[in-house]
Amino acid sequence: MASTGKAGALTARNTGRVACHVCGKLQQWNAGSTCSRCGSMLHLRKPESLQRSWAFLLSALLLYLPANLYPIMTTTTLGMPENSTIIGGVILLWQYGSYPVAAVVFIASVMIPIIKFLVIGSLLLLVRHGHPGKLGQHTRLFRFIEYIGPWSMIDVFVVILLVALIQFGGIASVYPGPAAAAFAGMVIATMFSALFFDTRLLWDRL
Amino acid sequence: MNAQTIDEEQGELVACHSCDLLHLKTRLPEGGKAYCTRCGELLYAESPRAIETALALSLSSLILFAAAHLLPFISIDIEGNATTIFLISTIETLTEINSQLLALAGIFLLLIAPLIVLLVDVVLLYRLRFGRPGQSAISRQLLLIAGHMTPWNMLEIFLLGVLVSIVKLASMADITLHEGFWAFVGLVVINLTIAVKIHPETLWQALERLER
Repeated sequence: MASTGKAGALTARNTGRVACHVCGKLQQWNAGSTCSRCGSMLHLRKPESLQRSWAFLLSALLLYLPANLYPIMTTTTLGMPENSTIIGGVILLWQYGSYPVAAVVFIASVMIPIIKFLVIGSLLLLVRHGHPGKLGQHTRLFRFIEYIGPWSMIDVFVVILLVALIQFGGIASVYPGPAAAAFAGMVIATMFSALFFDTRLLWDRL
Repeated sequence: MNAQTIDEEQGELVACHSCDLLHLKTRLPEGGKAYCTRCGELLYAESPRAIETALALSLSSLILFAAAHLLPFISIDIEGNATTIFLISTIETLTEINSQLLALAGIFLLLIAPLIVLLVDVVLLYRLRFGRPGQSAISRQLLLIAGHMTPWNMLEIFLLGVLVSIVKLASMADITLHEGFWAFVGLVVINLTIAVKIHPETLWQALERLER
């Protein structure tokens, strides 16, 4: 409550204020009150930030397995079905000589999710044990993965489009595999994990 | 200065939403941006005529969004088997082949989220620009909705997905891009411009002026 008088950085929290986490309005902090500008419930920090962020990160990790092991789409040519996984699609693009596109899909579908898991996972741990000198770096890292996260959706959009484009019955048709929905769910879960994470928790240790 | 002495008499304060550090607001030059001194987060920006510009851009966006959905999007020809699809055909096909989860993701990410963001932007910006003081309750709700929908507006990522699909098909099929596709490209460009042009804080402050 109010000013704690605690020696520390000149933050909203240390001076008895709160910046609404919905609209950003700075105001006096009283537990249980609502924001004077947008009417949202005021919280010093996003409520249950760590628990929610962990829960979505772990769900994303679980979905990552079927997303990579199952086929993301099935191409049927003259009655012959052929399954392709995410990594299989990347290899195929590479073999056709489409190196830049293969690289884009590899980065978006394989690397970005792994980077996101590693960064959010380590930041969640660092909230308690981080090195105070590296907080600026950590915050920038978080903003970076928050920005690149949704780009993993590329492969899902490719499947959605190919399925609609190639529906020729006997000659050739494309169907989505179980990995497509799992992958979409994985991306959405990592986005929620990042949305619930409150970077101010990192700085609170100063 | 320490935690006990800072107060509003020194000027208007703003807290960084990434690290909570307090800053005294200063007047920025036109087009200027203020960043947090500790973690580098963008605090607020001063863009002249931001509301007017964003209103014009979001109206154009809405028209292009309609064009992208109503005009043919892309054609494919594999050895004489030709199909032309609309953007919405993607969701129709997914429903027909019982891919309900993907259809749901598609309809939300390609239609609902971007449409809500656009409609909210147009109505909200119009009210912020031309609204009478005191009538701010609806605008506040609209601003809250826009904030929740923004992360799910990912049309630029779909555009990249279209380009990847074209490369994947190039070796086996003839692809023709139609008006709907070009409208979509314009839509993405304008949406990205709006995002750069307008900081949410600018809109919230416009709302506060309307409330006075």
